[in-house]
Amino acid sequence: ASAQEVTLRMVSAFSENSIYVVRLQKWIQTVNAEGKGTLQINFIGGPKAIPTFEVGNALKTGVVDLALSAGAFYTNLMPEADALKLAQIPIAEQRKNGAFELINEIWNKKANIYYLGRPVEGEPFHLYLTKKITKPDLTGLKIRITPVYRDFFQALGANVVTTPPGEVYTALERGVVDGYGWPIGGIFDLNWHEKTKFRVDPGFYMAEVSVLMNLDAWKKLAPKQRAYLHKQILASEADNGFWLRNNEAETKRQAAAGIQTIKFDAATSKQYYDKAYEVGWAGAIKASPEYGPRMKKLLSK
Amino acid sequence: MERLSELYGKLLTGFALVACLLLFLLMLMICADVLLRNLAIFPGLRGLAWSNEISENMLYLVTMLTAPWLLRRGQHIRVDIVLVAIPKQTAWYCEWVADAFALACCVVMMVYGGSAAIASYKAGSMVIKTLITPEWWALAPLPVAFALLAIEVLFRMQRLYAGERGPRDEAISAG
Amino acid sequence: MLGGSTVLIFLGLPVAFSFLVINIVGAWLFLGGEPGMVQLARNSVVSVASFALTPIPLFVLMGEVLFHTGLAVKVIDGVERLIRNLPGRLAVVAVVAGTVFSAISGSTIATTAMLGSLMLPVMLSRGYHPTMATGPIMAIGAVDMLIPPSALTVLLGSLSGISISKLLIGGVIPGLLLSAAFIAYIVVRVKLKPELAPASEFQVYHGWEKLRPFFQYVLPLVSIFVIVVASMAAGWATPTESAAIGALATVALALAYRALTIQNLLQALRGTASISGMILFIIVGATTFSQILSFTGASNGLVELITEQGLPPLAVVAGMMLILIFLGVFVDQVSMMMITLPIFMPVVQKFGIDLVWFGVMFLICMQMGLLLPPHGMLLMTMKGVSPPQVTMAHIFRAVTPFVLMSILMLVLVFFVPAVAVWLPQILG
Ligand code: NA
Ligand code: NA
Repeated sequence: ASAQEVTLRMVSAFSENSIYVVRLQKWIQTVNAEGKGTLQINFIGGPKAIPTFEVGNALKTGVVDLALSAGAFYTNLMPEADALKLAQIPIAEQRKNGAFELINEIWNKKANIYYLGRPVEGEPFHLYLTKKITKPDLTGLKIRITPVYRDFFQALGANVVTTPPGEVYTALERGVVDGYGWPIGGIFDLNWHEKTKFRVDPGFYMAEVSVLMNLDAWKKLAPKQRAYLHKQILASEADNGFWLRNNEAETKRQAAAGIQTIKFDAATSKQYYDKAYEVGWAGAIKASPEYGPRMKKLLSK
Repeated sequence: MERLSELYGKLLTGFALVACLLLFLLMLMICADVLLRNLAIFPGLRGLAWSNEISENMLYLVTMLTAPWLLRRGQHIRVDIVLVAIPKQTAWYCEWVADAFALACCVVMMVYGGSAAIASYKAGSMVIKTLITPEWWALAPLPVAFALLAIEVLFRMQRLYAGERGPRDEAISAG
Repeated sequence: MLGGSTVLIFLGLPVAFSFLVINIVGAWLFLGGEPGMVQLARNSVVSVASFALTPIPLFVLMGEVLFHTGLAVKVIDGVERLIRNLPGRLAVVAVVAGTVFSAISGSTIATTAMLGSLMLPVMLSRGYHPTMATGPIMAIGAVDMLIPPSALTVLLGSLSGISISKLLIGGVIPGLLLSAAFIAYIVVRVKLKPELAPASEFQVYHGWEKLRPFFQYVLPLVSIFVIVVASMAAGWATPTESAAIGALATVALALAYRALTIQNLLQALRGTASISGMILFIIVGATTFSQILSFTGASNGLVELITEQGLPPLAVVAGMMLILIFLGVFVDQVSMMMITLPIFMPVVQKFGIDLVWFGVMFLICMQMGLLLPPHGMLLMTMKGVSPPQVTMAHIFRAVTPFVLMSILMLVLVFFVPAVAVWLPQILG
C-alpha cells in the first residue's frame, strides 16, 4: 500500500450514549484531526448499525475495519475472548511481558482480528443487591446475570436469571431479581440506582473494552499508517487513569444515591475475590485448554 | 403439477403445525421457569436458567417454519392499493415482476444464509451462553426456510399463470 | 433505499420481501459484497431471536383462545344482560364487550373478527343501519391495541427502546376514554336519528339471572388481566414472562369451562402462528433494513437534518404524528414502526421528549391507521365478515366519526400529556 490517506470504518458494540463510546468519539476526532493525509476513521455507529453480538463477525469478515467491543460479545468466534476480563495487570505491562503478543497470536489465528489496544481498563465489576448479605453466600437469591458473571455467581450459590437489559429495572423493583452484576460505572445511565440498595465490595475482574481491527485491513496499511494508529492507541491507553478517577466519582455518586457498601472482613474479602478468579480461570481453561493456561500465566498477578 | 403443489402444501402445513407446537411449549416453558424460580418444588432446580435462550430460538424457528406456509396462504402482508386501481391485465404483469423479485430474494438469502452456516460450521463457532451450542444450529434454519420459500414462489407463479389475469387477493395487514 | 422499498411495496410485493430485496442490494453496496451478504443473513437470524418479542405470540394466543373456544359469546351475553334499554343498545353492548375483549386479547384482528362475526348479524337483523352496526365494532377493535395486552405495543416498545410495561399501562386511559366517547357518540347519534338503530325487544333478566353470566364468565376472564398484572406486581415474573402466564391462564380457564378441545386449541394456535408469523417475518426484513440504513449514515444524516432546523420540539412531534397518520393510509402497523422509528427515536431522544408520551401518541396513530380508508385492516376484516348488503361505502362512512374521535384523542394527549403518562407514573 502507498502512503495515501486511508479511511477505516468503525463500529461499536456499545450504544452511542455509553461513556465508552463518548470517549471513543473524542479519540476518533483526535485521530482524524492529526491524521489528515495519513489515516481517517469513519465512525458508523453502535448496535443500531451492527447488532452487538455480530460486531465480532463483521470485523472478522471485513464488513468493518475497526470495532470497539468487549470479549464477552464475540465468544462465538473464540472462547478465549472472554478471558481478557480476568487480566490483573495493566495493558502497559501486557505489552511488555509477552501477553500482548500472545493475545495477538490467538486473535489473529482464531478470529482474523488484530488486537490493537485497550482504551478502557481498571473498571471493576461489582455485585449489586436489593437485600443485605453478611457473607459471600448467594443461596436463595435470584441474581440477574450476563455470561460474564454466570460461573462466579453460581459458584456462590445464586439462582441466576437472564433478562433483557430493558427489564432489569422492573425486575429489581418487583423483586423478580434480588441483584445483578455490573461494572462500577453505568448503573446511573439505566436508572438502576433507584432500585439498588447495596454494592458488594471488593469489585472483581475488569471491564474489558478494546479496539480491534480486521487483520487483512491491518496488513494492508502502510508502515506509516500502522505507526500512526499505534501511536494514537498508545496515547489513549496512556490516558487510562481517567477510569480510576471515574471509578471514584461513580463510587461517590452511588453513596450519594443511598447505595450502601457491603464489606466483608479482610480474610473473607480475599476469599471472595480469589474465588472470582479461580472460577473465572477454571471456566476459561475449560473453554480453551490450548491457550487458557498460557493466558492465565501471563495475565495474572 | 397440481398434485405436486398439493403435496408441497401439505409439507408446509406440517411445518406450521410444528410451529404451533413450539408456541405451546414456549408458553409452558416460560411459566415453568417462573414457577420453579418462585416455589421450591424441586430444591435443586430453581428456575430454568436456559429458558430465555431457548425461547429466543423458538421464536426464530416459529418465524422460519411459518414463512413458507404463510406465503402459500397469501398471508404475507402487502399493499395492493395500486394493484386494485390499475387495469387488471397490468396488475397481473405487476404480480409477475413482484414474484420475480421474491424469487431472486429467496435464492440470494438461501445462498448467503447457507454460506453463513457453512462458514460457522467450518470455523467451529460455538454460542457460549447458559447453554453451549454450535452456532451453525442457529444459522441453518434460515437458508432452509428460504429454500422452501423459493420453491413456494415457483408454485405461486404457476398458480398466477393458471389463474385469472388480475391481481391476487391477499392479506394486507396484521396485528 | 426508502424509495426503492416503496416502489416494491406498491408493486404488490409483500412488505417483508420488499425489505429483504432492498436489504440485499444495500448489503452488497454498503456492507461490502459477499461478506456483507453473509452478515445480512446473520443479522436476519439475530433480529427475531429476541426474548423481548416473545409476548407477541403469547398475547395473540390469548385472543385466539377466547375466540375459538366460544367463550367470547358468553362474554357478550354477560355484558348484554347488564345493559338496560338505551338508544343504540346493541352498539353499546358491542363497545362494552369489545372493551372487555381488549383486556384479554392482544390482537386487534381476533377482537374485530370476534365482534364482527358474533354481533353484526344480530344488529343487522334488528334493523340497524349498516353504518351504525359496523362503525362501533371496527372502532373498538382498533382500541384493543391501546388496552393491554397488546402485541403491537410490545413491538413498539422493543423496537423503540421505550419501556414496554409503561407503554402498556400508558394506553389504558386513552383506550378507556375512547370507548366512553364511542358510547356517548352512539347514544347521542341514535337519539337524534332513531331510525339508525331501532329499539327492539330484548329478553330482560332479573335478579341472579341478570348477573349470573357476568360473574360466571366476564369476571373470571377479566381476572386474567389481574393475574397478569399481579404476577408482575408480586415480583413473580417480568413483564415479558407475565405474557406467558396470561396465555396459560386463558387456556386453563377455557379448560375449566370445559370449552377447550384439542381441535379448538389447535385452531387457536394456528391463528396465533399465522398472525405472529407475519409480524415476525416483517421484523426480519425491517430490522436489518434499519441497520443497513444506519450503516450508510443516512439515518444520522436525516436526524441531524431534522434536529438542526431550529424547529420547536413540539412542532417536530406534531409533524411526526402527521407523517404517521399519512403512512397509516398506505402501510400496515409493523411497517409504520419499521420505517419511522430509526429516524424518530434519535430525534425524540435528542429533544429530551417524554418517551412514554410520545409512545402512546404513536400507538394512537397506529390504531387510527387500522381504521383509515381505503386500506385500514379493520375495514377489510369487517367487509370480510359482513353480509353483501353492507357495502364498502357503508363501511367508509361508518368509520369516519370514529376516526375523528381518535384524532381528537391524539390532540388531547398532545396538549394534556397526563392522559398518557399519569398512570404509568403512579404504577411505575
Ligand atoms: Na388488548
Ligand atoms: Na392488539
